[in-house]
Amino acid sequence: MLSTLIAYSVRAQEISLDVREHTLKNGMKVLILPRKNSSTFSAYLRFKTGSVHEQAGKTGLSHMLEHMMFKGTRSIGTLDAEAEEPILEKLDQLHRKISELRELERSPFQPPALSPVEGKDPSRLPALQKEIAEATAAQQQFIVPNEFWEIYRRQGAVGLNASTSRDGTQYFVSFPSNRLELWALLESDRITHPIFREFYTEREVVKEERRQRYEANPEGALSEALIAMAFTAHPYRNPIIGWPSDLDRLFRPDALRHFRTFYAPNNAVVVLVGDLDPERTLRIIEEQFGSIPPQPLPEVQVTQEPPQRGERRVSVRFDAQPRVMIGYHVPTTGHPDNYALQVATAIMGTGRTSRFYRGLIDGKRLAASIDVSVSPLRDPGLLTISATPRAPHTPDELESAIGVEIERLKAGGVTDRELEQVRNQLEADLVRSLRSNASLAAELGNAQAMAGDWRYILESRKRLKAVTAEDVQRVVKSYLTTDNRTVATLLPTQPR
Amino acid sequence: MDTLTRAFGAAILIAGLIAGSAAAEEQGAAPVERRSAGAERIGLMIFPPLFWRPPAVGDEVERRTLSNGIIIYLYPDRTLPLLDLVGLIRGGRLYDPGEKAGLARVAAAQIRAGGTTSIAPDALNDELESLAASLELSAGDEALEVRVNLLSRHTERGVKLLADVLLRPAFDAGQLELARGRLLEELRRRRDNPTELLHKEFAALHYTDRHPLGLEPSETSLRSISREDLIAFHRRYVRPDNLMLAAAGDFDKESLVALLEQSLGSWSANGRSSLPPVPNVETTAKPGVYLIDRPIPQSSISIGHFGVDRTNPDRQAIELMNQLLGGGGFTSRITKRVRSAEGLAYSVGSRFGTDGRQPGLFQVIALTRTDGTARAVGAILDEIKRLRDAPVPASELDAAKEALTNSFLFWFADPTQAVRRLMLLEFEGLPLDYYQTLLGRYRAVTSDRLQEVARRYVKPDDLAIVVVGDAKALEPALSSFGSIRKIPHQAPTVRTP
Repeated sequence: MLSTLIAYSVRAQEISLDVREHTLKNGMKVLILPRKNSSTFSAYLRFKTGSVHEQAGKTGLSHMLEHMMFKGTRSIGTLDAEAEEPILEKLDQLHRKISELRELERSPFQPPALSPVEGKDPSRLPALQKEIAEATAAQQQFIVPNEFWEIYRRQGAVGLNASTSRDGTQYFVSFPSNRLELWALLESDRITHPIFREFYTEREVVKEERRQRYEANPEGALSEALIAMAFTAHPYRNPIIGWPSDLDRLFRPDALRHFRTFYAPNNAVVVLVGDLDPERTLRIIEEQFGSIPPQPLPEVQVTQEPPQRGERRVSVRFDAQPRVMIGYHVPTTGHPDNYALQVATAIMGTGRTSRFYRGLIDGKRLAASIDVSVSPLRDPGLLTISATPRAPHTPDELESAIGVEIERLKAGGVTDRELEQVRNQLEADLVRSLRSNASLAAELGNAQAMAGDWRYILESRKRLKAVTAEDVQRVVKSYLTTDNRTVATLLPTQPR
Repeated sequence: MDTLTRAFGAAILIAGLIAGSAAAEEQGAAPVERRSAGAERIGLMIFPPLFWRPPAVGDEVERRTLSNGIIIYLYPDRTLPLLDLVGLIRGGRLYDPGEKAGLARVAAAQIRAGGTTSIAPDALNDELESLAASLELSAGDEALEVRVNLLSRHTERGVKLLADVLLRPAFDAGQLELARGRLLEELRRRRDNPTELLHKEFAALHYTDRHPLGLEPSETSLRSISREDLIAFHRRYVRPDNLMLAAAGDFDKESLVALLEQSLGSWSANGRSSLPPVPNVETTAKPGVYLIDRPIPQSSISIGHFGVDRTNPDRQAIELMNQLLGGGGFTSRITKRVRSAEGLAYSVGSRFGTDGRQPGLFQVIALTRTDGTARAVGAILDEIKRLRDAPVPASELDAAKEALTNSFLFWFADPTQAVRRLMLLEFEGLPLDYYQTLLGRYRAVTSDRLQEVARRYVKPDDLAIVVVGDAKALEPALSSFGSIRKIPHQAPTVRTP
């Protein structure tokens, strides 16, 4: 084991990252960073698949699968997994029938009175719902609800959670350091023998999540509209949580298929940071994860976004105060221009010395807040500016004032002082990212998945620090143009 | 002390109990005694002992005083080249005069944002941001909190800036106007976020406008705050006998104390610190159904009544009770039922205020679709009543105690958080060994005690059901829970200057 564990120590200023790196025979990538700061460790398990891999009509599936991964396994969360199996299948069939009936109801062309297709009679809906209730009750006899959570919590876990992004799905938790074996057992069990019980109830939970984030939240509604408008072809246009009609037509077998296709050890990165002995940790990981068979990964062809040829505008009516979001297409993370755009982002929008704060929040007092960001993505994404005007100023006024600040950057460039400040912040951010095991594990795992090498967290900072004033001016000129932007405006509805 | 091995001992015992009792519980959330084969096996796992106890004052953490009486807590941890300073200044929202609601919030931020007599606001921003440092003040209910975060090589400059900000704020008039304008905009946008609106209205309903905790800043109160108010606020609250400071991170004790002494030690203030009186909370229940109309497809629900204050002798039992009800995440009764079993909510849970100087609030929160609202309210009311009516299975209580015991070390994993916790004990008048004995107090709570506490502190007849949502649809659905009163929300009519 000793020989296979390669230790790397990378120094950036006073910072050294003593990462032990290993690839299991089945292709699972393992990173271990021993640290003595507390008797705890944090774990981060990432599958290199996200909403970008979903098929048309099945948006939201990766996120739905993420929720299902907490529902237990063949041996956790159930008194009898075998007895559950036929009930799970029955529920799948019933929900499929309901879905078909609902679609029939929506269709203007098949009035049930004229051509009641056998088994597709909408009046059967209540009977089906009754059958579902019965099957659900039958399954309840076997289910131990939320037992997977219960075990983790009882054993002292904190921060147990997961997240789905466009390019990845990640599962994380922090544990007392003496519970490493238990972590390995629970995680390997759920990535080999998960049971997606309570799928259709959880689908309702996800619909509530959608309402909370997008339908009852003006900012969410606006960003969904912006993204769907900015991307015409690339699947980044779809919300990670899924479109409402797709959510209603996700079924357990869809999640199983997605799981079997993408949750392979050779598509996973696992990172452990904390009070751990690296040799022993690797041995435990080999034991628990080493026998999971690798599998060929599908070649997913992701439609790429064609160049934008002219400004796009969209408005959203909402019972809320106005706001505006602007998105510019930018090259992918790792592209040389992306570094310069990140620096431009910081100079425009980070802190009280930023251009937008000084010019528009404090100076002209047009805005209450302005946030600027570039999302780290594998395919070309967006630089977004999200702003709230201060009454009586309108979104239009604020939008043009933001435009003026951007033109000022194009004409006059940035100062050495501004650049120096960004560089200092980058260095301090790196040190701060080392404060918590959990955030460091996430950073390492993200870099490994995104760039194929965890050292990218250091490399990217090097590249960011090398950005010159000319670079910033050039990228602002070439990407922050009218023709390359999408503007989304939230307008108040009349109060009733 | 070896808390984790002891907890493991308890786990074996529970496994034994479960093996003997297969009987199901009555209706409601599924019986807790149920266990899968996998969980049984995990229950038998033996973990190596973890030798750990909370950091203690007088051991890892040192308490000192500067020559002018400023209390200092020191927790050196040299793993990273960072330094955090956290200060607590007695003052805050509780002391806001009624007609100037929002004063503490504005004043705390302006102590930093308004610059100092020697450094203009812009120059202060420039210097801090070019050092990649942050120095901020904010106001809580009982304390103003100062937070400084630096690369430790900038310690000397950082401490000097901190002293300058605390001792000599300039309260730049332009910065006050900026803050006022942004707060007025925030007020205008108050309705946009339904959960925020819900929390504010729930608090306002209970504390009323006769208590600072019930008063939100209004257009009138924000407009009335003058630069003179800020100066008087600073003179009254920001003084050496009213300040505690904690340091965590990369420092040498003696040199940091010398530096603090040099920058803050000769600071003096006239007379003795005196704080304005705080009105008592009239803990009159506000039972009924309250509707706040917003035409959105999801209702935000808050159900609850008054909680207790931190001197309550049953505090730990109440906290455990809340863990069981809705404060323990996915393993809580309400989450299991409303979210996992019925699919009615993504966000659902409860909190029971026990940590304030004055009585806090007990609230169950759930966000659910309009046509699921009545069902969610019914389920929550059921679970609240069941806490009083049915004995708590020992296994459920033990699981909650074990979770607390086994995760306790995370409360102290970050040195800054740890030293702040210890300093807060003195600030709140709790014994300095509080955390050394806390787990024992949780473990001492029995099932019987828990039910007694539920019967005493959970009052179904006092529950206010406050809902933000589509009133037209909700009114008929919620009328079975009591007579409905509508809380008119202020349409955003804030004047513009």
